[in-house]
Amino acid sequence: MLKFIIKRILLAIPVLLGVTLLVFTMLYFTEGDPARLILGDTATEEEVEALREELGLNDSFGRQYINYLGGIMKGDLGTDYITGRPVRDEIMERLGTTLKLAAASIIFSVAIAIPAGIISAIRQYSLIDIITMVLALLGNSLPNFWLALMLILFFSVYLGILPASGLYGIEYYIMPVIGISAGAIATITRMTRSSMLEVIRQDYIRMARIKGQTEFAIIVKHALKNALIPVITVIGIQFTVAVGGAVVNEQVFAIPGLGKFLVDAIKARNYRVVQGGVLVLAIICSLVNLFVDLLYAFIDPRIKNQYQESAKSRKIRRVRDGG
Amino acid sequence: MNDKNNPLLSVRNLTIHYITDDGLVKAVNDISFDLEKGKTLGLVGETGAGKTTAAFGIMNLVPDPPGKIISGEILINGKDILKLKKNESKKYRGKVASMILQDPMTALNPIITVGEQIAEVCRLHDKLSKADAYIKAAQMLELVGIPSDRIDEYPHQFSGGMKQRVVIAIALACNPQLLIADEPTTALDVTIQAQVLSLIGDLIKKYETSMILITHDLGVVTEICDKVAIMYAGQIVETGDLEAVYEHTKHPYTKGLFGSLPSLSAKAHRLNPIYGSMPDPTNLPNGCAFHPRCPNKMPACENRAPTNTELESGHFVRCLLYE
Amino acid sequence: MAKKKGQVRQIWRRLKKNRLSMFGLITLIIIVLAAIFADFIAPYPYDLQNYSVAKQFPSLEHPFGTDNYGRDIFSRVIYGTRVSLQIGFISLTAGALIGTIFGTVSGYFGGRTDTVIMRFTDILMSIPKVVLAIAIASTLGPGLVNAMIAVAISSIPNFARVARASTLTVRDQEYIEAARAIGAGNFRIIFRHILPNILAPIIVQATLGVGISIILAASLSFLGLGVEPPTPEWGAMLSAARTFIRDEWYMVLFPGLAIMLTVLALNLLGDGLRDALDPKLKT
Repeated sequence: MLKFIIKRILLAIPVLLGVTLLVFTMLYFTEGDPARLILGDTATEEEVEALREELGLNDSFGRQYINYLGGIMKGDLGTDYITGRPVRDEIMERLGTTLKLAAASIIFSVAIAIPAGIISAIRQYSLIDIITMVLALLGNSLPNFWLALMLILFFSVYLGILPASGLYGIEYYIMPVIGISAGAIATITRMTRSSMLEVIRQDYIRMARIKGQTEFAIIVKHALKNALIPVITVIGIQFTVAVGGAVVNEQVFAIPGLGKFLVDAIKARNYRVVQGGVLVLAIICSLVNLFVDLLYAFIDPRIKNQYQESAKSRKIRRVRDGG
Repeated sequence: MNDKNNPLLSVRNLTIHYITDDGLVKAVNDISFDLEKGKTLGLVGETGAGKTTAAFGIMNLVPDPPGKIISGEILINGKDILKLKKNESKKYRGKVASMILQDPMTALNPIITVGEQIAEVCRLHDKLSKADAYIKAAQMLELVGIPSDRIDEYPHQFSGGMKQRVVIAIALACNPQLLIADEPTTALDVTIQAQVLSLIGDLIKKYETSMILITHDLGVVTEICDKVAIMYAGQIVETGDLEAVYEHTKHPYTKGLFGSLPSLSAKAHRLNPIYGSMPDPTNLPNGCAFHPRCPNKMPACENRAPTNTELESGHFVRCLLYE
Repeated sequence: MAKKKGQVRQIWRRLKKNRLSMFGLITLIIIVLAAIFADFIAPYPYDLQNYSVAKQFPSLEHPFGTDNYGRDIFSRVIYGTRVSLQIGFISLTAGALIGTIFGTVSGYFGGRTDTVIMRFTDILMSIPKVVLAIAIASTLGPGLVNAMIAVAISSIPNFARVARASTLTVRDQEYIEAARAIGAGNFRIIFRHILPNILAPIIVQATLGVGISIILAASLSFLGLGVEPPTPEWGAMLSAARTFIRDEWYMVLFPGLAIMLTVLALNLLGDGLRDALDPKLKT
């Protein structure tokens, strides 16, 4: 098991390095001169050139990347050209808000979607199944920011019971979370349902019936666990989607999170911030998916044993080959 | 109908249909047979003849929808199991009657240890404590020839033959009176088939279990079975004691089956296949279902369906030649 | 070839039976026609400003009302169909082509090629789609074409994954072995033998992907990083209309409904296609 964990973590390292390279490259080629941006239009060409030299902007691409990477290793994401503050600090101030939104949305999605998917599968073709599937279809067809706007229209403008902007208390979470979750709920519900239907058809479910097991125990003990294994991976992917959703919905609800910060930074051509923000979000998503993969292996004995067994068979081979 | 010494199982005019999008599938049409305590019946027929459906009928496990038991009785010790209430049905399955499925690869739950899967049935019916059921599971493993120290392993750690042994252990754990073995060796390697078959044979002899062995291998039937029933297009076309059917074969289809067996005796140089293929069960021919392929077809066969005719004690044939 | 035709007919027959998918298909056809004939359908030019009728409630003259510049929202939504479909289809086709080639090559050659390509898709997938598109759009600057490029790149990994998985299942089949045995080159095998056989899942992914691309493009425009006003793009219209949500709700409602209907139609068709192409998977 430890081997699997180590292997999976090692596999994540090139991906994370790749993310830094990708993000750095993209923003390296962005038009606009940071030095000019800092000094403004009134500065002379010499002043700008001096600052370029000072910021290391005249170094080669490779050199700049190495420097940036070295900074990341030390937790340094560079300096905000506009405010002059460390980008890391600015991101950390806002990251929590975005993560809280994404995490709340995923928890909410799972809490709704898994029971809905299970009920839908067990009562296939019933009215409740049809309603669930239609809602799931709509959930997958809505742009989340528009759903958010419609929620504001109904709950804030029409009913006047929920606050339309900011994030100052639990009631502020309700609309953004629903907006962000709609797609995830739809996807996880459909996935749970089809996975459950697939499992219910399996021979081992039949075998459980042959044993005389009750339908309830068959669902809980035999079907559910098997059906949820593939769903776990989808939940990991949906976390990434939820982070994206949070970025957009922060804009709708004027929530001062990393997403809004990022979008504002792009408009201000504040590229160190964009670089840092995208990077931090990508790293967090990678880590969450890494965690999900590990969880997956932990739950599914087939994967767990695959690694234990391969270790065992390697040992056997070594003994047999006399080495 | 004969009623020598009250049979354990008595199937009377059982008819099972599937209602599907593609039409009405007449899977089992009016079958009747008896099985006495400790005896073994070979249920023989081509793929799609309705053997497995009949078996699930006897387990009271026809999937509904799309399956429907249209008519008939299934008497076990004189009691019709089709009239059992839901909770009585659960006590029947696994305890009175049990079943071995065709493919051991899919019959075991991949994420539950084999020990627990055997113990489950003991705890359900024999009301054993967790610890006692575990001990019983270990005993059952030894009984089917698996070292009991593998009790905590998962199905994927076993070979196909071993898995089928585990399934046998599950099926026999509560010492049922009736065992249905649905082609228990078809999915296994040829070298393992004989081992598994003789294991089943030995165990049912030891515990005086009655068995229905579903197979398309006439050779296997001679080794294990006392009686044989030949199925074609959902009907039993010929049934009787092994000797009667093998030595005094009556039905043209049964004759065809024997004719298509390779033989070591010098007489036959060529196999005699039955020409044509099984009729579409959604669209059975009028009259006798076998008439399009029958070498002894008479004009009447196209219009009139044959009835069950008793030729000598216990030897029934469904063919106009004998009416 | 005759066999292929029969196959298509069979898929069509199965699809026709699925009422929801047919609803999707018909809706989609209507939307496409609306895009093509926008000049005839829209009662006003999309950019005709008329302050005397600004912010008018929906009426017979202006079925969806007018915006703060007095532009007819119905006309803008109709013209918006053009923009959204264009972005959706073009960017998706580009993404699908590149992704499929990556995936097929990856699956076919395996080994180091596979590792490199798959790590690359891992990298793209670890960044939330919207964030990736934002980053690309900010590199390239706003605008219709740049938005399309951003959306196209974001859709590459999905296709690479699907194509790779399908290639792996056909790679070792006997007809591929046979082609190799008669001396067909890798290029020929990939294009003549593998691609046609993995087309089905890719078509399904593409149908569902157009919807995702349309939403993604609308999100970009909504954030002000995609198509810029006055181009009548649904996301951009919503972005501009937000400020008026309190009193002029119709400005926010209709562009969103248009996105939803389009994507819904695509999803219905995609689901139906999946079931029709592979009845075994039907649940």
